[in-house]
Amino acid sequence: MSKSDVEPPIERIRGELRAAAERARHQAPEFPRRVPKQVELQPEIAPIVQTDAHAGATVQSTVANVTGVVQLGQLSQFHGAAFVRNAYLALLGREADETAVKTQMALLGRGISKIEIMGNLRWSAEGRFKAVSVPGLWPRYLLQKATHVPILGYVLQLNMGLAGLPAIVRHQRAADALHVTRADAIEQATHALDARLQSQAEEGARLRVDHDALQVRAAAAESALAQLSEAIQATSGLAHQSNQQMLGMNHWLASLRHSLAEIERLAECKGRERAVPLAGITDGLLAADASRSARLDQCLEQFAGGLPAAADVLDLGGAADWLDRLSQRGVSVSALRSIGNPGPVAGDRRIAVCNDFGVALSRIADESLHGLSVLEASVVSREMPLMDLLQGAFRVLRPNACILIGLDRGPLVLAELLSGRQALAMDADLLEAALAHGGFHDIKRFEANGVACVIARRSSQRGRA
Amino acid sequence: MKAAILIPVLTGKDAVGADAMAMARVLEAKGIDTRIFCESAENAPMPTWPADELLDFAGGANDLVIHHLAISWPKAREILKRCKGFRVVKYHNVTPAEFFKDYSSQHQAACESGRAELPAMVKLGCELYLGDSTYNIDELRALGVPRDRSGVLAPFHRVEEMVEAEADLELLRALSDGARNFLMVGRLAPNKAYLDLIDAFSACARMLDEPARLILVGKADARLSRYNEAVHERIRALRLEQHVCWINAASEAQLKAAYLASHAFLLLSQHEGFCVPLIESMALSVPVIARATTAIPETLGDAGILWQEADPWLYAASASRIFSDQTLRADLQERGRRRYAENFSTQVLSRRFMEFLEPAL
Repeated sequence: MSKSDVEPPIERIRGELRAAAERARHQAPEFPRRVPKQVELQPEIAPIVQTDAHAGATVQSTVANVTGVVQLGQLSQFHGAAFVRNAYLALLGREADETAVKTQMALLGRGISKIEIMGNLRWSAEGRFKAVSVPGLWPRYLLQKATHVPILGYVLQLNMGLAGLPAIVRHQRAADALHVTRADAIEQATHALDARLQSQAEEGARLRVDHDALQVRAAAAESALAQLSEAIQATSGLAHQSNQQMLGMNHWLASLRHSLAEIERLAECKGRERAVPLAGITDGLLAADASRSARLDQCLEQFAGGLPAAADVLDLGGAADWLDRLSQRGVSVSALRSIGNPGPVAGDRRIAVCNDFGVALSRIADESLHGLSVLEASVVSREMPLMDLLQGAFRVLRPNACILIGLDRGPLVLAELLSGRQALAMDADLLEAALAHGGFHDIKRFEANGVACVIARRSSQRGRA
Repeated sequence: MKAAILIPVLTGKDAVGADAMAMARVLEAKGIDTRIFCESAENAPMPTWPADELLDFAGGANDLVIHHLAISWPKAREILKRCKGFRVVKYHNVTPAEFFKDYSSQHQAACESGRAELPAMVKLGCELYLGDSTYNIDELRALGVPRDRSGVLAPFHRVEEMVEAEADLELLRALSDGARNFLMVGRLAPNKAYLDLIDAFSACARMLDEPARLILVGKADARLSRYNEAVHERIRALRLEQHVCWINAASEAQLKAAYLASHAFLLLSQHEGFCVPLIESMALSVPVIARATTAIPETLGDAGILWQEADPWLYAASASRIFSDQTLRADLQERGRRRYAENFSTQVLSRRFMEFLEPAL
């Protein structure tokens, strides 16, 4: 892993950023020097201007700068909420919350003096913790508290009132002047407010127009939605109809399957009925055939010699004496026999009866058999064409597995003759050529007591050997 | 077992208050009866009890007391001395007094007194000392706190509540006018180096080919009017009055709107014990350009651009690059979100908090 893979990207561009900063520095004018402000350690109350960006307006708020000592006059010059807020800032070092402002304003409204309010704050638990020094507050606060004493307080207030009468008159005149000035300011502010209200009203009217336009668009959207809903409903009806038709088709197919099964069952019954009397005749003929036993033994020698122990073998035709011979050699044999072929199958678990060799063969797994025997190929090939048979055999046989095909005159051929049908005319040359073409090798021909047979092995890959 | 959180003043909106209240909530959620004890409370959404009553509630041997140390408060030491249970000191740092030398003797005295109290607090030998950052806890370790009784636990915060909260759409619309918005969140105090910040923003505004705005979200301290004036004076001297937008004592909705509208977070602070706005920026995908002082590099990690120097042009070049290089911008945002989720989410902090308290539970 290279260094650049683990390094944060910023580390790689740090040098570029320094160079860019250097270029910018040279192109830009110098920053003005910071002039250190003269530090005064005298307490002061300084108004600062803070811009409330959210409202976009400039709010003038006066706050106290406290350096541990506050002069009474600095605080008492403020009135109302400004006084309360400044008192909190100066004496408790924090903003007054809304509840506090309301409470203190209520006290002021009840005629409680600013001195008493300042004293209450200064000697509260929080004020004592902050311990801000306010020279002259303590005796004045005590005096104010004393006015609450019954009778003595009244006398005290009376004396204080009489003594302060000239100052009260002066304050009253000053208050009159202040009120006149404020009334002018209020009038101007009212005019400004009217102008703003007018502008707001115009904005409101514009919004109403927008609102109406939006309502029209909403109505159009609603109508389009209704149309869409109708279209969906119609499509839903068609889908339902199609579904019903599909169900009808399913019923019809099921009925057709039942009918076909019934036809097959009837055909099977008919085949069995025909096979039963034939079986008696063929059994008799085979019993009279003295050379059959020797033929089957020769075939077995050729076939079983190429099979492994406990091999799985399939026989098409299923003559019982042939199957017995294979079983006695330790081969696990099963057989397929056509419905029309004679011979008792009841009780012989090795033999399965089928309508169609091709279909029965297609149900057998790929490369699952060690061997396949067809002793009476001239009859089997009539029910299943030879090339189809070899193709099926190639699929179900394992690579190098053995196949035996004979042109014997056994129970199948006899039954065909007795039924008035004729077996196909085949010879060993034809079988050899078909096997070679069907992907089999090691093809050998032999005579089993005068009957031509061919034995071969399945190639690993399909193709002419 | 009962648990007590001890804090001089509980404020609903500040970082220490948020940490204290979140600890109380986590302990309550674990089924521990918990109360917050303080001298006074301001805009606190939780009930509080007078500090003097703490010993009656949680002074026993099986109880837990967590003291949040950020300012001078001798009473806390007296209370902790008399507690018999598991005592924890959560150190949020005390700003060095020299920052206030030219601006407020009251702040200077308070900070000096806070710093002077630290050795005594260490001498108490509490069972556990926690710092918001390694920078913080190293200060206590230098005074003698043993390493095996100390650790780092970032402060709990309200970032997830802010992410969930609705932004002030009016403000968001007003700020989204096409200008490049730079954001700084923090109270107006000398240790936050607002004068350097104004210089850096001025360089950014000069270097960019597009309008720029500096959004300052922070409470102005009335007792620091000299510093406030100095900052305003600097803004006027650099002719930036029209480019600076102050939001004093912002609501949660306004704060979220400010983050959403901002293109970069610009921080030139000289002293931070942790800096919660950095993790707010990470969580809300605002790329950070910051000065590498005190705990800032530890909090930010590799999720932003850090400079040792205060050279304004370095910050301007960084901002310009972030705006022009989308890959870099996306990478910083992704690193920020990942760093927040892995280190600072409430879930992570709650788990670490309970691991620290395991000996007491």
